[in-house]
Amino acid sequence: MSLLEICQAIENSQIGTAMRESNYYWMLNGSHVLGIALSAGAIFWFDLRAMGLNMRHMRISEVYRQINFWMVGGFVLMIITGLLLFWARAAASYGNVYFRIKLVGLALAGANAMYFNYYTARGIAAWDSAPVPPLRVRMAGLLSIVLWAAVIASGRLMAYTF
Amino acid sequence: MALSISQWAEASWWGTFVRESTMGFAIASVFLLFGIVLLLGGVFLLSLRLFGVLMADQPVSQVAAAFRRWTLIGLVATLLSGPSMYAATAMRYYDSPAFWLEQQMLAVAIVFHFTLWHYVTSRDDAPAALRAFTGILALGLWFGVGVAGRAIGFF
Repeated sequence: MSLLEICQAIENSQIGTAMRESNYYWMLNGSHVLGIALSAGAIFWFDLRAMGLNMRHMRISEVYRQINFWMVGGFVLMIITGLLLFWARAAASYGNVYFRIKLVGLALAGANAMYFNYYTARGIAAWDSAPVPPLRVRMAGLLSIVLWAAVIASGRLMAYTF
Repeated sequence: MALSISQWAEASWWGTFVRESTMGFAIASVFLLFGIVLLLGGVFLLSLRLFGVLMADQPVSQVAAAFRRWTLIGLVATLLSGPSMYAATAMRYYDSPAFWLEQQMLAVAIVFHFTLWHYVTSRDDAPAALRAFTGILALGLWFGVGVAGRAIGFF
């Protein structure tokens, strides 16, 4: 069974069809947008601090600690609603170039976050309170903003290219 | 009057340009979403500060000052891209109940943003009850605008 056939089976499943034809499908769509606003919105504030552009008086670890719960919460809402949206339009999404760009963007944003957590942040004691952190930290923040912007843009463009 | 404005907008050179360009409407909607992320993300986090559950050790005015410029950029992005989308398909929007609900909520939200929201988030001596009320109102209004806006595609 090819990946396309699996996507067709998902889209044509009872749940996929029910969601697609439901009068409340728009609510799922709206919740996905709200999830993006919460997660990407919260991540953006941390990225600005990592780039030394905002909240310079606060330690970077403190901004992360304060915002982390809401970043994760929004991300979980975004992923759950995103998976449900995919369930309803799996086959259409499979062949959509913007969907593929979105997945790549999500994977790279995740890799960037993991690299920051496990490698860049190791020496955080040296620059935690610095108003303008070292270049590698600022670059991680900039890369995160660029990747999330790509994820958001490709997700939105998907709807116009089904 | 709303009908004649919608007819004029749809027939305008800008409405025609956005409607007839290959990706004009889609690109406007991408910028609208960027604006929403900046605006709702900032309003959400600052509301949490008003509730006392985020950055509670930081003065409200200081947190608000850090958020103000970026939420304003978000608002400007939505106010530039939204009318472009409206101009492209104004007559369809005219017939959409969700669009009119969004516009009414948006008008109230903008007035609220530059009055009570600005007043409460600019000072550190606002009563806790007023802060909580303002935060709830902000979340209700702006997320209401967002949900109503998303509903335009369906109603």
